[in-house]
Amino acid sequence: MNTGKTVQDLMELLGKGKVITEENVLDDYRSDLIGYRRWERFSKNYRTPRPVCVIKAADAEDVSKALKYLNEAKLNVIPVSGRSCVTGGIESTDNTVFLDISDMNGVVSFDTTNCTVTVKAGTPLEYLEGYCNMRGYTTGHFPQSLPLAQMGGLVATRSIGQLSTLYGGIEDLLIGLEAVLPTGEVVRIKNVPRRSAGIDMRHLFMGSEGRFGVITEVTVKLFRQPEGKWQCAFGMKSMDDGLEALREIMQAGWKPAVARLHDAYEAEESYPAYVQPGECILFFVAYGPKGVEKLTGDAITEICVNHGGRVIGSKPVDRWFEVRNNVCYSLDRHYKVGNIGESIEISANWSDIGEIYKAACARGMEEVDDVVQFSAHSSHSYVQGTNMYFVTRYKGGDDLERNEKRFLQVYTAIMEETLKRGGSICHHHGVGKYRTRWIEQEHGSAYPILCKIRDALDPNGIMNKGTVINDG
Amino acid sequence: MVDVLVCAKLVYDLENVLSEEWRVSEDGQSIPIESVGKIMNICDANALELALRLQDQLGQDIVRITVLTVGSGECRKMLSTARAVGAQRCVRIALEEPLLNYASCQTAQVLVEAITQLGRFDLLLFGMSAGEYDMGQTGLFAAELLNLPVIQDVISLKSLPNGAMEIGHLTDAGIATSIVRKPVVATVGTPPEVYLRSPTLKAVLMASKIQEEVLERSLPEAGQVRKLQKGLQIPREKKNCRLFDAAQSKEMATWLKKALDKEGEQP
Repeated sequence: MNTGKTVQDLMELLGKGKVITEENVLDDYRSDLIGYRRWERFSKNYRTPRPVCVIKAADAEDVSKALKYLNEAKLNVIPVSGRSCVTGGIESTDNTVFLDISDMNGVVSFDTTNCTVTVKAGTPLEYLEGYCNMRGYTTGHFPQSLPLAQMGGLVATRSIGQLSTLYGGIEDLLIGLEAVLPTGEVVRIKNVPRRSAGIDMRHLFMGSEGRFGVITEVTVKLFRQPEGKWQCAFGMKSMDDGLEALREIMQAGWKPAVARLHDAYEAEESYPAYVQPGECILFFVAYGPKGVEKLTGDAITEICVNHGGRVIGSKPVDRWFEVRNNVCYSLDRHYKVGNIGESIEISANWSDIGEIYKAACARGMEEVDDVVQFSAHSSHSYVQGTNMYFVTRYKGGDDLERNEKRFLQVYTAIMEETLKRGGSICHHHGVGKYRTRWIEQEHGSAYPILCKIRDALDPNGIMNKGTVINDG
Repeated sequence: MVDVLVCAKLVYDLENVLSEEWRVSEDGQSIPIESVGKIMNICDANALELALRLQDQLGQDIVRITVLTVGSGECRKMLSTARAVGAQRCVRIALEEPLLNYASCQTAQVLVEAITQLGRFDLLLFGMSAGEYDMGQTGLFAAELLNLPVIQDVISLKSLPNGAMEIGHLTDAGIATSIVRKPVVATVGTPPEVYLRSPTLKAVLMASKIQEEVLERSLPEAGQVRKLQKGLQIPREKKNCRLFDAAQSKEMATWLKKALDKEGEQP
């Protein structure tokens, strides 16, 4: 392809300043900011191709113009905002143009009557949360990537926040949106509390990871700041005991904002002064109108103690609040000590999650050479089941093929053990490119629907190839 | 064969003290840091990493690393981790009473007694200071007691074919490289790009099955320590400080040699 002509055409169409071709910038866009290829970014030894250019769109009209041109030129387009992806979802492939919407930011409307806030898709979540807090409200959305993430990306990847047990995931928070289809049409899904007017089209964009269009504006719920807060940690003898306690709490109808169970490795690594050898740590935060938090806390304490839990107190929770997003400020911390870090989350029903945890950890230890860490925690629970967030580290090196082999071993162990037991291969990081090899198994007989939607919305197949759907 | 000793101390992980806990205790002497875990002192961990890099360079058969610590059974995990990353021998000095705080000379004396018993070492590495009290004296006292030369703020180690060591270290003027004969004491601070490597889970599992050697000791008597400290001090009236400014280290060395040869000579 003639990349020079493409760049020239885009500059004429959008303005020279909106099309970036500097090599150092293009290298920065080769892969996700976090995740496996961080190692390559750190060592400046890349396996992903350099993109053709980066478009910095200023508004939906820019996005529309760019997509119309790129659709005709049949060039691969990857929409990006905060770039805090970990699954290869924004990893460059051949002849890729990045469509960056992060310059499209700001609050469009703040509506306290209906408790909604509408923002441009490139608005940083951290900014938005601060904006809401100053007015006595919260978005209720606190993913670990909060210091990096932007609203469009959070919707496109079907994000979830650390207080999800109370506020829900982005699917519970998103009210409406504006998006540009791959062929350039601007579409808007209006803001209403609920409707039964056919298929809920918000779901075409939530989790689409840029396959079905570019999100340009979103409207999410607002919540009043809670009045009461209760928090407590418990030492649990095993993951099984912790999972049972969690199940009982969720099924009894209690709604803590945070419910986290870390295995013994993570408990010792992060809370060494609080846990006894071999203990897992289970902790909760409950919010609510005054009085609700205490009621919730008393009930949770009783259930945990009945499952053999040892009351530790609130200090470990203070510590968690203090460091919970630190990963965003030290993205290279593993690489400095020669390790590659990977976080892989899955979900399953209560009946299967414990077995998935045990089987994946056993395989990780057995099959992955030089594994430094293979631990997990449950951080988002439901009436029917919970997630399991595996944290893995293994020794990296200059041999990129060897690194990739280890990476695949880690992924395969977790994906296969999850699918074998009927779980889902992604809980909240999305599919990206790393999980597409298992995506047909994930969806089973429903998978062709996904391909048909892609073909209908993106007839030239220009949007983020190889992501979410296995394009072969 | 290069026998390396790394002295390591288990300290509170001050990085993990909650911001609200950074306040002085009621006794006015400390901050309440008991709620954080303990880790190998960062400078000691860096010293171990430098020793491991030397081992990477020459092989495990050539570079033998011994890690020595003073403390109770709570040091076991730290020593086990040291073994899991490549130390061949781990020794813990168990004292009847804990070491005093702010007493580097006492600590050095306890360490040196054990070092003498453990055998001959070519390279003795100490963290430049420990996070808690930041005295920065133990390595220096130990070198004095062992009557060995000492190089401070070391950032790199290289073994030369003639058996000498090439030691990179930080000075006020920048990075200096010294070629020294073994045995030598070196103190390590926070060299750039030096972080203790992580052990693999398999190595941790294997290391946890091996117990560290334990040397039972009693604290040196206070009088003995005071006597030692006194011996290291130069009375104020005998102090003779001179300032010499030289651009080149060769010029500086020539002056120093002359000054030492002919005490009292003014350059």
